[in-house]
Amino acid sequence: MAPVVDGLEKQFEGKVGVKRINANVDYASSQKMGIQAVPTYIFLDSQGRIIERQEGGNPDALKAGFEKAAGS
Amino acid sequence: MMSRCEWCGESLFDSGPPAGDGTASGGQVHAQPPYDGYGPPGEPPSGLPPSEWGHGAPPGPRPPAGGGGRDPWYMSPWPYVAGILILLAAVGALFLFKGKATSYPDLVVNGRATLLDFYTDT
Repeated sequence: MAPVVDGLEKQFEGKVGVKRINANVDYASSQKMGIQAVPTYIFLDSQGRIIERQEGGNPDALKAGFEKAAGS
Repeated sequence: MMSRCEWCGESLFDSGPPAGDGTASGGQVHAQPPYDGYGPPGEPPSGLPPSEWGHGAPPGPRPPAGGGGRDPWYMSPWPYVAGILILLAAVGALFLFKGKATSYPDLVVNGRATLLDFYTDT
């Protein structure tokens, strides 16, 4: 799924930022967000509120999430 | 001298000597059964009707049954309306506070919408 995320990041550059978090290293962030499985994708708006949460790799769902975040 | 029943005033007659087999007999009895219900006929000693004999009912008129014609509270719609309104207010407050609690501004990148990509090395 990493290439898919890279492609979408370039496609939505300037509208949606991407922050990659290693769940084994940044354990505090993982626990704060309630991460149960990887990969997990969480979309936040500009105020930090959760827009959408996805578990597992689904390119179509990921693209839809990018579009939703860009419009928020 | 003929005896008379204290309750009904009927005359009594002697039924004869006891049977001797343990059964209740003998003594002075009525010529006929003094009543065919649950109380002796005639005027009771206390002046109360038969339904009040032995119960010791207080004097005075009886109170009306059913609370004087008023419906009980569960027959009115207002307690149910109030309960539904309280429930809706509680659910609404839950959603309101839930939305305000989940916010992570420290994870936002450059003040714009952000994707958090949680991964592992394995």
